[in-house]
Amino acid sequence: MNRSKFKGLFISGLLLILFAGKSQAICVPFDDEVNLEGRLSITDKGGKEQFFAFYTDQVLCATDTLPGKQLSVVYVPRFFIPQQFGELIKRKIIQRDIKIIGQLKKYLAADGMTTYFIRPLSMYVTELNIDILSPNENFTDFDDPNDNYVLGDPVGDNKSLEYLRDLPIDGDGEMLSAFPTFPSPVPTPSKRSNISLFTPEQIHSGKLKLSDAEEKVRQALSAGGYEELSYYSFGNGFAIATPLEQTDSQANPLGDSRWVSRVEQSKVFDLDSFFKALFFADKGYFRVLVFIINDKPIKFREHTDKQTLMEVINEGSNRLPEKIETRNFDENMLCTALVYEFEHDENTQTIENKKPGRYTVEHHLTSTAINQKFEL
Amino acid sequence: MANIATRTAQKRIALIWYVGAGILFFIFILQSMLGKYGDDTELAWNWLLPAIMPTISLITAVLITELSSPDSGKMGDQFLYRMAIVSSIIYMGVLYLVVFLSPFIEGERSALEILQSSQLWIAPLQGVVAGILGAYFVKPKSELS
Repeated sequence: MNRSKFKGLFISGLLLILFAGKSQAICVPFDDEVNLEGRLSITDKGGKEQFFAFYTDQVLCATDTLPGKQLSVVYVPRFFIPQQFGELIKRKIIQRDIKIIGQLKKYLAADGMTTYFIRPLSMYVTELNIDILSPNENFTDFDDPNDNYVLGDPVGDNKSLEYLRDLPIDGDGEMLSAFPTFPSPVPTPSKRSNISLFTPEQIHSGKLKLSDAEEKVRQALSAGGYEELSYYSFGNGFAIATPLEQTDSQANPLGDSRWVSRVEQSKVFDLDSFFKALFFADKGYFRVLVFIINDKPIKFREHTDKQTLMEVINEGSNRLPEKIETRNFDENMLCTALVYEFEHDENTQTIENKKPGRYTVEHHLTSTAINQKFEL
Repeated sequence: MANIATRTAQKRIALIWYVGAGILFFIFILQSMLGKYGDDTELAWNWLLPAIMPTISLITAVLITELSSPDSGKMGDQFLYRMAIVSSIIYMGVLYLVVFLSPFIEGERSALEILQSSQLWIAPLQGVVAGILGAYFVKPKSELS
């Protein structure tokens, strides 16, 4: 057992002892759905509370005040997420837990405890051994060598959950957990390119909102025949994804079979097509376009899991929530177009991501008449 | 019913199998070289070889044995001969049907899956054909005359 695991065990044991011995039911302002079960605390000899924890049916959250330090919140998911769980399920669990943390943050803020950080304990979270830190700069982390609650070295397969780092926690402590989030680090696309949605004058006018960017992208995609779009939050911005689309070998939309997810056979049975089908493997080409509007650099992960990407595409929302739409589109905002090209393999009946892609982003956007809609 | 010379019957049956299997073999070589089955080429050959090689091997071994010895002029049953010819042609036809029809019915299933599913009816058919051919290629010579 390594050091961090030992620490985690120790702390967890401590929490459980406290949990059993000193818990007292209190009423706290959590949403009903959080189903808070109670609270436990430790007081010093002077009766001053030094340590307390919240426990719900799903998580155990403990706070720890250190002399001269800021208040920290230790977050222990009580739900262990096995490796074999799909990433979508993992994300949903994390989103739910972070919602609970969001509630906790509000509660602590009401108590005047406004500065703290949240991180999982390694003991329970071998696979969740990541910092769940708010992108909000008001939340600061600190590194105290004597802090028993600080995590040690990461344990487990962190890479599989790296994208969870950027799960959004609003500044006011509320979560967008009900709204789907595009994974970050973003699955590496076949091709990517930055797109200017507005002129510098428009941007500097200060009147642009994210809804304007959404409208521009949506109209461009609509001109290209894309109707069923999927929306996601992404950092301080959002992402839009198109459905899986079948193209020909030149990346042009494939007529009637455009939205068919299996490779269509040639309707013409001439000798040429027969011999081609007899001696060569069928090829099918698919793509997904994703537009990310965000004010921070996008991190990409090396491995693109097609299954995860398809799950993400399927779980997108049909529109953006007002909370995102009303955010300002300032000069830091950038639209990044990502193209995920897939090639169908007749023999394995699978669709594999093509990296690097066969065509540029511009080629893909031009083939669907989207590009001209982006011209300023 | 008139009888037929055993050696003649064996040669004719062998011709059907050599030509039929040879063309199939050639098609599979081309398909393998052109990447029809991708990484699963071995599985495709695993379909073809068990379908033809046992019979081809038997025919070849018996033919070599027969041809290396003087013609005894033994006669075989005409009905069995015709049965062997017809069943060999039908069997070969089924193999060709599977291979040539797969481009038309691919879509939900890959060519390889079509080959593999065809084993359901090819295997029993092969058993019947092998049984009939046995009359000319494994039956004791004394019983053929």
